[in-house]
Amino acid sequence: MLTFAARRLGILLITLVLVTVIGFLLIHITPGDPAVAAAGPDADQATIAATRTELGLDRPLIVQFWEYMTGLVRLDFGTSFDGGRPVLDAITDRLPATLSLVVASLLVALLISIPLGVGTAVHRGTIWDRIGVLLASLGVALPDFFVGLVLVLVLALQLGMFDATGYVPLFDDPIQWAYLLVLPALTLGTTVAAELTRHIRASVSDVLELDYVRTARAKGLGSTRVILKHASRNAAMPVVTVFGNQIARLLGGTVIVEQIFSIPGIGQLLVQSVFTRDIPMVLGIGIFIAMIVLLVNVLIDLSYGWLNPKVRA
Amino acid sequence: MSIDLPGQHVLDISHLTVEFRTGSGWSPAVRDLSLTIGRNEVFGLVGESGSGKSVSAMSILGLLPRRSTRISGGHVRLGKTDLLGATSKQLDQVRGSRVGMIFQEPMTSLNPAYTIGEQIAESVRRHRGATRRDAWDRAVSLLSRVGIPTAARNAERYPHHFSGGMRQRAMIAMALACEPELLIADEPTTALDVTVQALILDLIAELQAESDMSVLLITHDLAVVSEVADRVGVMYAGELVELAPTADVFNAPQHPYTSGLLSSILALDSTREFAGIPGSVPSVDREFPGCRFADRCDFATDACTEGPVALRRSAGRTHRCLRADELVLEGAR
Repeated sequence: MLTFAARRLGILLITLVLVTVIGFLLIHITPGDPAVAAAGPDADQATIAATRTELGLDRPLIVQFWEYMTGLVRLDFGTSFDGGRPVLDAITDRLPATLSLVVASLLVALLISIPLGVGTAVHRGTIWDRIGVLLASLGVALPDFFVGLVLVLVLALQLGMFDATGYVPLFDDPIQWAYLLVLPALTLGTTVAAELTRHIRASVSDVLELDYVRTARAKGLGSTRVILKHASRNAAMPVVTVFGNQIARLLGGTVIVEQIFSIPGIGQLLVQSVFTRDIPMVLGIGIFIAMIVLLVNVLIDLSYGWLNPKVRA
Repeated sequence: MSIDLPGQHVLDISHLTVEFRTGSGWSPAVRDLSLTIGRNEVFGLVGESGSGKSVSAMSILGLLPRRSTRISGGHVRLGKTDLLGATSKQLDQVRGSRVGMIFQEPMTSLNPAYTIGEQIAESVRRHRGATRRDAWDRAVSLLSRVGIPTAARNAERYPHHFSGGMRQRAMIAMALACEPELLIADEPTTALDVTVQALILDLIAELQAESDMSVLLITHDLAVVSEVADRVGVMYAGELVELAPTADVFNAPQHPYTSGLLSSILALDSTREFAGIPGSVPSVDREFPGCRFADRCDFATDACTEGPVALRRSAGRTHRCLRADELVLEGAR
């Protein structure tokens, strides 16, 4: 199990380096001069040149890259072109909002997909199964922003049940925090729920046909226990993989959803930074999100070991 | 050997009909099956694949898929408990507790995600309300009883560490965890190596002999039945065609199908030619006007195809052949 974990962490580090290299190169080959943007709209040539030297953009790319990499090792993501603020500070400032959104969305996704997926699998072929499958297909087909706009229009503007936009930090006012997160979490969560439902249904109904489920039933364990203990753990394997992919998708989705609901999260910061050509900020956010996705995937790989003892060997 | 007395039966199946959903509606896979198993008796249910023997066994514990199968007639009683009319809660109290079951595929019948010990212990906890520790201790002693070496250590291992024979031993330990009245063994040796088959069979016979337990042994292998069964029921195309003490079936079969099965056993020391039965078992949805075996039978007459043949008793024997009294059929040996 320990070598298994070590191997996975090694792969994580290599991937992270590759992500940084690709991100660094991508940003530097995109057209547009960051020095022009950083110097401001009314800057003359001399100011732009001075800004370029100040930001270190006049040095060879390889030197810039080396400096950036050595900084990363010390968890230094560089400083923003826009005001000279450390990138990591800006990210961690915004992190709670994004984290709240992601966790709430995942909660929505799991609360919908597990009962719906298991229920349709157990009652496969019945009218409930068909309705569930229809809902799931609908959820997969509809894009995040569309669901979000409809929710805002109907629940917030028409019925007035929720405020259309806004965010309050958890520790300022927990109730208002939860209340304001409902719509964005539903927006992001439903599409993930739809995808997960389909996989849970397929996986559980496959496992329910297996011999060891019959053995469990023959032991008189009762259908709840048969499903929760004997079927779910094995059915979880493929679902967990999908779950990992969905987290990456969810983090991508925050960019749009934070815009729609004016949530001051990392996604919003990213959009702003792209517009101001703030290279260290864009790159830093990219690497930070990549780190989270990779870390989640390592956790998921480790969970295979728990779910399936064969993997540990 | 059991005596056929009412009330002495552990299992009483009467007029059981099980139907499968097919393209054209419902087709009987088991037709009007009646048999009893006495206390401490080993009953062998024999037949080719598709004869309905496994379906019969599954229907006893209600393990058939509910949407594609239905029980359209008859009753099954375990002692005084009506199993077909039981709710799923009542059935769960019987499964694993009063009736243990082992299956054909030891490789896939154990859950890969849990240790062998846990899979045995959970049954003990469920039915006996034992504590975790007590249930685990029982699992270890059961494993040791069924011949798993260093049982305490092996109980903590997972199914993929076990060979096929060891897994089937573990399955037996699991089935016997709550000292059932009846053990249903559905082709318990079919998937195993020949050398392991005999060991598993010996183990079942041994465990049966040292308790009050009855065994319903389902197999296509007549050699298996001849070794351990007290009585034998032969099934063909969903019907019981012969029912008798093992020695009678082997020495003087009353039904041509039984005789055909016996002649298809390869005996190395025998000079008799390997015969077999021409044709194959008809599909469940095929209906026949008379005897279901008639079109493969060497002895069939016009009378055989005129009307359904009921299970009959003649000269102390139970069979489903119109010509049993006039025919002298070849047995084994």
